[in-house]
Amino acid sequence: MQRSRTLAGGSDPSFPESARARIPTRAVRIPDRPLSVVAKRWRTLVRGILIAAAGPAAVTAVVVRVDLSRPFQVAALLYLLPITAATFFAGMWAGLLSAAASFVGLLYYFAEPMRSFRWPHATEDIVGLTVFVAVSYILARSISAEHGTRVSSEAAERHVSFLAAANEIIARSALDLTKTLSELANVTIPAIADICIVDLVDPDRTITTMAVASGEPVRAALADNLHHMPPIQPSSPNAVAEVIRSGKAVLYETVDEDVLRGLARTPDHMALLLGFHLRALMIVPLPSRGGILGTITLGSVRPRRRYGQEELSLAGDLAVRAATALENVRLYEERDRSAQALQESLLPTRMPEIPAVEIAYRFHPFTEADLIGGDFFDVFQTGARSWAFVVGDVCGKGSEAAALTGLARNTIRAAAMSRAEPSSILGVLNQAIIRHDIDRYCTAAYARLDLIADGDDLRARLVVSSGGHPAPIVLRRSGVAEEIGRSGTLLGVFPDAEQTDTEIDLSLGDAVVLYTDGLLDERQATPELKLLSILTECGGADAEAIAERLDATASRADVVFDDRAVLVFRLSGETEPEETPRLWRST
Amino acid sequence: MAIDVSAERQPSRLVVRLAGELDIASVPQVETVLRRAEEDLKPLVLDLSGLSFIDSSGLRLVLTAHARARDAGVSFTIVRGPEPVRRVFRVAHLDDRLTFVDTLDEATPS
Repeated sequence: MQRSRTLAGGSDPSFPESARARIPTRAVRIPDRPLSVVAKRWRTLVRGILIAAAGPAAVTAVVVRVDLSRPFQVAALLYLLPITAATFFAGMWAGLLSAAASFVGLLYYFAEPMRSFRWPHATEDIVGLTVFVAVSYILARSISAEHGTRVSSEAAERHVSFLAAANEIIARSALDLTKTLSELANVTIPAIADICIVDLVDPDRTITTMAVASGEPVRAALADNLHHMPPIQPSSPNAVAEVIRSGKAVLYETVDEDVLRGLARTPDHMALLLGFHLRALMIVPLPSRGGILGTITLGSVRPRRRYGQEELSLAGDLAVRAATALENVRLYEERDRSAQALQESLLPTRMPEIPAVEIAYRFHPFTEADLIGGDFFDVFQTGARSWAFVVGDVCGKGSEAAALTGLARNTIRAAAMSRAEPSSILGVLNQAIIRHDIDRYCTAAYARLDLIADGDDLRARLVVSSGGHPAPIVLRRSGVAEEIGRSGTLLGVFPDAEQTDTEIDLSLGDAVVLYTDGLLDERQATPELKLLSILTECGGADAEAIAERLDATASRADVVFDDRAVLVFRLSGETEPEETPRLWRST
Repeated sequence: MAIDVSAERQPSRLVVRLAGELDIASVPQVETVLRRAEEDLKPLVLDLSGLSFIDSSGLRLVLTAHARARDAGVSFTIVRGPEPVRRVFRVAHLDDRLTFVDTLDEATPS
């Protein structure tokens, strides 16, 4: 089993048979790369020889037939044409070969004595032949040099501008994995490929196709099907898996059925690959510090687009850049996820169901960049007929603030197990923060609701304490809204912080609002009054409607920098329909 | 809107004046100036009369500066800001825990 933990080759014993069966058994052999290189060299050689021989032969045939009286100079000039052509198409060696063939033709047909291989008698012919040899050598040399530099400088230029474009796209698409991958695939079309497939290693090590891009003449609809191919198992003999295991790029200068079989994941995939009529392929790994992230597969369907070492190194350069970008995206996503998880841990996982009480809330954590908001709220049961409602705000943002938020929430819950008075519970929190963190503080409002069943009449008592926090507001059914008590000292700074308890009675239809200052437009002198006047219009509305109204007002105001939370509960007298008998009936 | 922060060294005190909005974005700038001013170990006056807004980060800045001054045995006086700024100190119940004056002249005489 130990082996299954490493990426190195061999079959994975933990790998389920059913998954293995999905890979066609034929797809086993990865074609030998050196063979195809040798084959290509032979073809180039044969083509060069043919060009080198055919040109002088044709010139000889034409010039001999014309039968000029003194055709030596004319023939010599004509022979220079095939030498030029051979050099241009097959390189200097073919040009020189062609020159040799031309020399033989000149010597045999056009120098005295004619139709013999003997050295000519006439000084003129000897000079002529010598000049011809010199001229053809210089010609072949200069053409091949010039052609070579032009080709390589064009290639270098393409190389640089392609990578610059790739860099830009990768930098721009920054922090979205899917977007980065599709941009990455797109940048290769048509610059270096007609079809591009990006495969990534998943956390469970299977390999999944994440992005596909294609250009003319590949039909996009056909290429899109590549998205739906099953993932590759890490130990599969598939060529992509092989590149991921070895970390080495592969180049197929020509593509035959064997190559495709090495790539195909299913018979359908094979049929699809055959349909592209690929001519050349490259698979390059995406290298990172932690291992291979995946591969980029580039395919050519045009006869003129050939892949060689130069294209392979270009693709490799692209892969290095892409891998860096991908690594950043992954790190960012991970951080984002853990921040999100932290934030979510600061909210109650489940709202308790309180008979005859409606609860509604709106919570907007501050999620810009890597900042986590310091708002939190909680609702929990403290006794048979008692529940606690808490809303708080930890100063600052970021993971440090979030840690304090967690401390605050847990301390309040723990303190509420042994204490009843809200002021005393906030006092415990005050001490806890002072001991934990000398540099930060917290504000919170704590409200304890005691339900009192009095015959058919529903009543409740509410005890409230606030530490440096906007006081909760009671909204009577009649539409009268007022703050409950006054705020005490903020928490976590002064060992002798003062908190007070305020007690009020609630009747059926009354609602209570707890909130954080993100709900207020703090650039105003008296933002609480504005909030109270909005609430006055909400008399008789249900908790959900009140929360929505307050939240909508805040989102219209020009509040940018703070997160906000609003928690509303209301004595509705109605229990959930699925619950057993109604405890209270509305009057 | 950004913040204007200036420190003025007077014979017997240091006056740090803030004008604009003191929020999470402008706190670092003010923090730098404040800490440099504190090195003088002279009575410190923080003038908030030109401040239009303060958020929880700003409040924390004032509280930590106050704590540092207390530890160093240096007096720390705050010139009250306009109503939105006063409100924040009031809600946090800091009125009687920090030393406030209404105008700069009332602070430690220069």
